[in-house]
Amino acid sequence: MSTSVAVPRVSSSVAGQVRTIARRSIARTLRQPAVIIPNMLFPLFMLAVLSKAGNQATKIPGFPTKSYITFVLGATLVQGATSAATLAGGLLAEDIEGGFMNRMLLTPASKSVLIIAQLAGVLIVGFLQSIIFLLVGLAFGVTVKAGVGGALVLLAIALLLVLLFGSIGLFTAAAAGSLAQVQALTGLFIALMFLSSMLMPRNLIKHEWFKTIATYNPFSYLVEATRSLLVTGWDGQALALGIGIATGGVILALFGAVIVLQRTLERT
Amino acid sequence: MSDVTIAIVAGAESGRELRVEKSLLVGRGPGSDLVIPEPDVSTRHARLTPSGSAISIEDLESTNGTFINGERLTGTRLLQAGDVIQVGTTTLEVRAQKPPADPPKPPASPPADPPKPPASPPADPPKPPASPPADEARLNLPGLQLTRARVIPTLPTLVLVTGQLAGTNVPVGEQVVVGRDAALADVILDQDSDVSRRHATFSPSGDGMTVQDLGSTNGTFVNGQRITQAVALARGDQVQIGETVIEVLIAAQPVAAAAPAPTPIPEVKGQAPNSIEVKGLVKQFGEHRAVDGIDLFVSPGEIYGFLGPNGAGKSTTVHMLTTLLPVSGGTARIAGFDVMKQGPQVRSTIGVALQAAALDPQLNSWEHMDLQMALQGVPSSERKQRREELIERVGLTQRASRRVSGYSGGMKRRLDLALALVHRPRVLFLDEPTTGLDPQSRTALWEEVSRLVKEEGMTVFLTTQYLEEADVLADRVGIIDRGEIVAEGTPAQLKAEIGRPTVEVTPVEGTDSNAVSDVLGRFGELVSAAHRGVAVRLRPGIDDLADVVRALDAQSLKVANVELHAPSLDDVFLVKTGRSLEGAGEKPDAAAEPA
Repeated sequence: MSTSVAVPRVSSSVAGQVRTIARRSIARTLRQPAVIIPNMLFPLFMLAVLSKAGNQATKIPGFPTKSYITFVLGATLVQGATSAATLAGGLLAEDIEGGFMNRMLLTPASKSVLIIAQLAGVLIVGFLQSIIFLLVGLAFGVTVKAGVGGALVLLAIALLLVLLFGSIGLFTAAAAGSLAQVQALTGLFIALMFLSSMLMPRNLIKHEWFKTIATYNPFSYLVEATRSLLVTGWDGQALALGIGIATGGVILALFGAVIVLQRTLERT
Repeated sequence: MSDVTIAIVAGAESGRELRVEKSLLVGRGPGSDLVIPEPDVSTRHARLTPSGSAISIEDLESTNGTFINGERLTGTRLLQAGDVIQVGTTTLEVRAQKPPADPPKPPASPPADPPKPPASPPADPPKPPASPPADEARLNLPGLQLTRARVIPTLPTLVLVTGQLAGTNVPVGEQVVVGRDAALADVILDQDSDVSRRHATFSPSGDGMTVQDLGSTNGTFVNGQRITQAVALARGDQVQIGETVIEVLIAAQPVAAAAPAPTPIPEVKGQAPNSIEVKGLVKQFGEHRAVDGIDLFVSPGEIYGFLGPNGAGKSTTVHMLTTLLPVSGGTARIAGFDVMKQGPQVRSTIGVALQAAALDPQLNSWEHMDLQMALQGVPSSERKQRREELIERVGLTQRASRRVSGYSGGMKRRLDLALALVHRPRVLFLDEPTTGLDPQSRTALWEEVSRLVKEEGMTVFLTTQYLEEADVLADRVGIIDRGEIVAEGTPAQLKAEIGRPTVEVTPVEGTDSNAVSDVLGRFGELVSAAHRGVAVRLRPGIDDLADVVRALDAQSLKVANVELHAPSLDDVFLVKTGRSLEGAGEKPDAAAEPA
């Protein structure tokens, strides 16, 4: 009988843990086309509808562009990124509900790694999705005022937004521990999108109440940062506000997710 | 002193000879003086007691018996030289005490002055030898637990006595690198900043081994001396790497015989390597005590069945013991590690298959194995072989490339078990492993668990609500109800404790029920029975169904059916709690149990 014959390995490197969990995150995300495809098609559908319906808006004096599809593509990128919340949060909620998180907690992997590496899959999907949105836009006459460099920055911002919404999804999943609560985020984000400057520049919104809400709605700044590169070129203020809000949101949401998950999944 | 000794002639410690100078407990439990770590040996199996110049042996109601010269021992028996004692697969032989090797020679001539009797008795009685032989010393030390005296492999072995891996043995069959970097080292000390990424290497050399510092920043020390070149190690040498002190064992020396650790660690001292020790364990959820001060001890290599209905506290206990749930009160140690203070060490020691098979439906078996092995830090060079070995062992090779979403419940359970074993745990927790499985899958899982215990010496803590499972699989059973252990012992002991058989008689005519009751009432206490039946729990001393049948026949009562029921664990549960285990889980506080 052997009782202790194995060479013990009680730890793997943090980089190795991140790589392992990220690989799993990517595999399981890409293997769920039923989740990914609707998330990708819905923003494209909205882009098609809004670009047709909103063409009249371009005739309003002071409207920044003659192409409404160019105007609204920024919002499409933000909307696409919001799906990262349900995707990342949903997967984490499934792990918690199904007990897979317990399995991982029983390994030497750190909790922060277990959470943050879960974003790998949605980052890949989100990045591919943003490229597709941009290509579709370009195919339908969108121009990027900030040029090729602006297009690359646009994709980088889109990736940051995926990170932001993915982190919010993780936080929600960690706090609620249930898939239903994570899915409820979709409705909240759609409402916030429509209460932002997504369809009209804030200075052209007629109703004062709407303008006030849009001004306090962080979605406005996310949309305006992406839109600025498409419509007005390099707008430092819009970019700084959008990137700043997104970065702050990522830090808050990830920190919150880790803290909440530390408490939810207590381990000695 | 007795005139005979006990020699171990077959078994794990073959070759040892014991002198029985005080009562010695033989068993599998760590409290035993002679530990025989075999599944067929009960925790407290037998007792050897000096009796004048002889030795007596008593079987302590062991499950599989103690045999003297081939006959099963009942009660106590005086041993004689030449008697052969069989305990499990270990054979002990009673031998006459050897005369001293060099008896003092008589003086050639009588001394000129015969010695005078002492005027008074000597002030100090003769002292025992300063260093008695190791075996005797250990046997004579009260409370010393010889479970650590197992025979280690013949490979030279490193025993890590302090530091993050304290309590771990590392055989040196090939070069073993110690360091902080998981990618570069075999023994990873990543919590010690004084350890370099590749710090030192141990290599087998002849029958021993050498150690060499690999240019570490803070050095490698052998017996306190910093080494600058490869150094041959001898048994008992101490090597210090950062905070970790490593003791060297060469040849088949019992671990307990090793020199005491230079810096003893209270957490592991005296603990059995694979044991589970729980004292006053409590888990409180608000006002509700899901686990209410339970005590239990599971010996190395034992299968402990934790039996109880839903909501009794089984899973809560498992979650606490596996570090997934903080403890509200009491203490628990797994393989000597405190579950509250030494979570990482506990987790590296245990394998866990929780109640629901925790699998990702999107991944296949290979991917699950790779993920688990990577997170557990199994070196990539070993992973392929290990995953194939485990997948084959659980019979999933043909389906391993399919996603888990297409697996049956039994397949998921088997994969779950394989995943729990990737890092070669010493203690295995199985939380209701066969719930929802078909009988075939259940039997297959039982066989695998039995094999793990027999062949790998694993300790298994198994929760179940199935009486049969506990009965078939467990060496000992603890019955938990409403957070408290209400009974504990071997299934046979528990049944024997309450244990009288029940006879159930179904009369042909329902109108004969009263008459049948009158007859059966003479044989014991009437108990509830199935529809139209009458049942009696037989009084002690009445074990023969024929007596009952003759009595019924004497009254010309026609019966449709007569059944003799042996006592079951459900009867035990009924007696201990006043309720039947079947269906006892349907109670409001069941919700307190974690999923």
